[in-house]
Amino acid sequence: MDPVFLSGQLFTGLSVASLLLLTALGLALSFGLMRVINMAHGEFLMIGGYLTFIAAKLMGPGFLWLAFPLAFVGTALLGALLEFTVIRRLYGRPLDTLLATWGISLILQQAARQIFGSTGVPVTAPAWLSGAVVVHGGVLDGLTFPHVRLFVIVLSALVLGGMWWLLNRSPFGMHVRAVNQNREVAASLGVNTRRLDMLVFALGAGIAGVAGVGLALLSPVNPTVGAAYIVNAFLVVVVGGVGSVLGAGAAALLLGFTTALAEGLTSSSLAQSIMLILVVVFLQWKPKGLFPTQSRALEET
Amino acid sequence: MPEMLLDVQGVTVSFDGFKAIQNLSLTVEKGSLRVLIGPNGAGKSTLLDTIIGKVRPVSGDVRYLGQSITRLPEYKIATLGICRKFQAPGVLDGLSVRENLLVACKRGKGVLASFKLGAAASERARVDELLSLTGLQGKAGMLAALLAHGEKQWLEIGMVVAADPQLLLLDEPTAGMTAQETAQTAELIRALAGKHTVLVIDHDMAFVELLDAPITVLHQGQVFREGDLATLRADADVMEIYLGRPKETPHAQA
Amino acid sequence: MNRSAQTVLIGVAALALIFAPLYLGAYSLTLLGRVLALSIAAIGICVVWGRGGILSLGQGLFFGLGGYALAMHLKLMATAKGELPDFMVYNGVEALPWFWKPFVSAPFALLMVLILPAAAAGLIAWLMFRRRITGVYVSIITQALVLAFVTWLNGSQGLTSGTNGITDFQMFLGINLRGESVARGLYWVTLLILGLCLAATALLLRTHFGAILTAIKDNENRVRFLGYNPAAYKIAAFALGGLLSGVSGALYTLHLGTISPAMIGVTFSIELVVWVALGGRSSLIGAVGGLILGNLAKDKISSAAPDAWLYVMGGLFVLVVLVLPQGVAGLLNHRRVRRTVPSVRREVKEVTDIA
Ligand SMILES: Nc1ncnc2c1ncn2[C@@H]1O[C@H](COP(=O)(O)OP(=O)(O)OP(=O)(O)O)[C@@H](O)[C@H]1O
Ligand SMILES: [Mg+2]
Repeated sequence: MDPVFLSGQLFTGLSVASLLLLTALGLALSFGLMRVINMAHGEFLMIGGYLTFIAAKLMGPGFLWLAFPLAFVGTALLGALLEFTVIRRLYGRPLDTLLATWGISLILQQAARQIFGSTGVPVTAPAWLSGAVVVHGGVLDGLTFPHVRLFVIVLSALVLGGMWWLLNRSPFGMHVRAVNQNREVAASLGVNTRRLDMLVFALGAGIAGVAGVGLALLSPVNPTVGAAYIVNAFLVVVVGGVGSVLGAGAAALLLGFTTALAEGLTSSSLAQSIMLILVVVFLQWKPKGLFPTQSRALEET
Repeated sequence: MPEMLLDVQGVTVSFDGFKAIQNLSLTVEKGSLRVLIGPNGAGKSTLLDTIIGKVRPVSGDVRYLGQSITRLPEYKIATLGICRKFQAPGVLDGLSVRENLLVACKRGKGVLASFKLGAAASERARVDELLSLTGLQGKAGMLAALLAHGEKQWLEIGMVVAADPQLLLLDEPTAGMTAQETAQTAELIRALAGKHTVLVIDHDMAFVELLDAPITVLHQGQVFREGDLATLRADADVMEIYLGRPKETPHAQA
Repeated sequence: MNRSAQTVLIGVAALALIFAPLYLGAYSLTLLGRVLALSIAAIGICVVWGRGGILSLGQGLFFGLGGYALAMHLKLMATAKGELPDFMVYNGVEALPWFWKPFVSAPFALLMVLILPAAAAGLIAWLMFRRRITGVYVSIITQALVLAFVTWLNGSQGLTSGTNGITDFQMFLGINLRGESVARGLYWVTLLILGLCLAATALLLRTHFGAILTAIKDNENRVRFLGYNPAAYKIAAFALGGLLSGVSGALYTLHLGTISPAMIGVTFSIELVVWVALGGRSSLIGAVGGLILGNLAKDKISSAAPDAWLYVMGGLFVLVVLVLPQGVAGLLNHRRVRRTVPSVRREVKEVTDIA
């Protein structure tokens, strides 16, 4: 195969993986902590995208400075509200939570459809992001790296690094990991698990909102964009291993590259199917994902 | 030499590098009653987990009637005649007491054998027998979820003896029982010991005393001492591993 | 509500359904027949989820396999001998693909309606349960698989007619599907099959199999260490669920005269589950009734106020789960469920073996 084409596919795969990773991080966090499957998580991505659109409308070219805080805070608040009103009432009933959050995602999608219409709203990237790095000479002559995609990759690397630090080096992270291992024991040692649940959930939603900013830069935002990402994001969580941030990172890369490569070799719909089936096969080999957490408390549930 | 029913040979179990059991060997004679004690975290439950196949050892071998069972699937180990009562009561909440016992005493455990309405006369008789053994006759039709804690313990004991296993493994059967219930349980277990080989874990020294059987003390994943209660009580080292811990007897349930 | 009142109610409903063709107009009868066909899938969900505790979000896959198996036969029947189905011609396919060929035979196609979904479900279940994949993982994987199937269908224009789906049927078993009295006949056949499936499943759940399934849902480890192999039971239940979905899909295709990827996708699959939840996941009658009434309501509301429909649907998902965890059937069996459900949940926590 042509090396330029191949590298191009890999690069695209990397940028897709970056968004997937940002979406999956929040899922991995809340799934690890609360064993909760939030089907409305994709809609945080969508809302982040629409908030970016609004920021661009309000601010013109310099909108990114507003878009990031707006998307993060907006979706985080919505996440906290969702946790408070629905999810905490369903604690210990993961399958029911899944259904309820799916319902919420339907409502959010329909609301977006009525407010913004069902066709995508475009966001024009600022001028400094609209160029591309082009390789001259050598085997990779002509290979282009669009700035927007580079930006998204850097963004998600930064967020991943931040999350890793937060979880592994900060007191907050220590509490999260403690509850992850054994909720009852952590609670009896004085960790306020309810507040922690809400914080983590809001944080995960906020990160998805940030991913929405990246998404809006890459393609128009429409009401079903979240739904398009959610299944893959879940697969990232499953492949990565419950609640593991690094696992999610590795899995997102793996899935992103596999899809991009398969797309290069066959049609995109076949690639998607192949990827989904590969995941199921992978789970035969490692049913607990790449980075499983071993704990007696986890095992019994 | 008496026939060995269970022979645990140099078993090591590791959880992410933490060795819950280290090179532990233990034999149990056919028809005997054996008590296993040791401080919290000594590895008692893990040892039972290893015997029934819930946890796989990184090294060593578990032999049952001379055959290695270390790599068998759990359900096959159970059908060989090893049955275990879990530390927390493990009854089937959505079924009635009678159905719980029936599920336990069915002979054919395959899917095809299960497509049958009702129970055979022999099975019904066995269930009645178990109901009176556990004193639950009056509650046969009740959902297991509605039983009191002690009754669940008994029901589970009934379930593990239902299929007449050769080797009974009982993990803290008296947890959550009153003194009187504990005494009844001790009597029940002594009655079972004639027919089955029984391995009992417990923290309650009063109960252990009632069982009046040889004791093995586990500590940090290894066999620390073996002997009868009087000898162990006089043993300063044994007292120390217990007193080194904040709490000894009636062990609180999660 | 007590037992006898329930029996009377079910009897009345059954009579009303049997005589429906005599008093319902053409549109209503078609709608009802279609919904009855769908409700067979609900029986499967009741077994797999209500009894087995396995939430599959991929029932559309098995539904689709049944539907497509029949549709392929019907399409070949509507195509002149020696010619290719119209969509293949448009897509430049030159010879009938190998997997289409045997579907000329009606018995083969009917057999495939049963075998394909059951085998696919059995295989998927074997892959999952052998490796002890449980809970939400199963939901995610099954959802991913239905998505994979639909994506593949959409991308395979020439083989499956892609997004358009397979349409334009004429004859089945020598009967002209566009004939006068076909609607009534199809309705009664559907009702009969529904009745048979209901009765057979009800009987099955009263056997020891049903008890073991409930037992596995409550405490899989306890069952395993009593000498049962839970995976085998779950695989059997899942295959049965797939089989029922496939039958449902085939009948539905016959009613609608078409099948397409959009009809069997992720949304469809999860909607099925919600109607079952609304009716009562662990009661056969509840599950079937919930699906029938839910879909009838959907037809009414979504044609009267299309924009409002998704809000209603979304709201239902949340409400059912929060307020009616055992569905309407649970509400009717008030006393029994009230007493058991909370205590069951309390026990689940105690069982976690934290020493
Ligand atoms: N699945 C597991 N994953 C990780 N660690 C485990 C697991 N099971 C047991 N352990 C650890 O192994 C050690 C031995 O545990 P075990 O339950 O066997 O002790 P025990 O002697 O039964 O104690 P107790 O008297 O409290 O029941 C403990 O430190 C425990 O935390
Ligand atoms: Mg123990």
